[in-house]
Amino acid sequence: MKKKIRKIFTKYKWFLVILAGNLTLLLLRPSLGFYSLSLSWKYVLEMLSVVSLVFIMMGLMDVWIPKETMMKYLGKGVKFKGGLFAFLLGSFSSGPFYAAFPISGMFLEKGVSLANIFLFLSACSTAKIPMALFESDQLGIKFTGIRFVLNTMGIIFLALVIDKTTSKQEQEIMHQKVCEISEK
Amino acid sequence: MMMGVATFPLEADYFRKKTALRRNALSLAVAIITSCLIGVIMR
Repeated sequence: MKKKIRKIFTKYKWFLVILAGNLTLLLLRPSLGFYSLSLSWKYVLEMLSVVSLVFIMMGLMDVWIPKETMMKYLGKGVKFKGGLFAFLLGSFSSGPFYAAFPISGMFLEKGVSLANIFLFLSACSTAKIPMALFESDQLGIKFTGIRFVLNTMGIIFLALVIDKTTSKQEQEIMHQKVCEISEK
Repeated sequence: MMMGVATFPLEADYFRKKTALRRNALSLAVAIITSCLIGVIMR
């Protein structure tokens, strides 16, 4: 019983920390606490709406796209084209950054190369086209253009460094971990 | 830029702590260099 409770506490520690923080704030400064609690609730709903859709999409991709196809377009053998495809996939995606991790996990499970996974992840966080359009409107085309080019160079460098510095053994452990998560 | 403190636990779940730390550290370095370069170019 104690083990089970400890397991639940470990699993939901961040949720419990935020809940405790909100409740403390609610007791000490009710107006601020209520505002904080309503904001937290808003983000929980937002996250649930995004994550549920991501998981449905992932389930469909898992069934419809075989491992061989994924490896053909994003695997280790496909260097430039695979990288470009992963970058574009990340650039044209919408939604928050945390939604990209389960997708990356699925990529890892399907045998996509680590460089392409990190290209996708970094493009998701930095080189989103919808965000760049909004950015150019607010900060100017020159700024957005320079930032986009420099960040793209940074993303390529980062993906290559991580790919080269991660050993096969580490990649295998990562693969096992992702398989464990998807089995849960 | 590509760094995420709030998303770190989730990232560590998928890619292990070591790889997540390495990615975030490299991202921070790239972000600093990019910011400095933008500052120099836009001056």
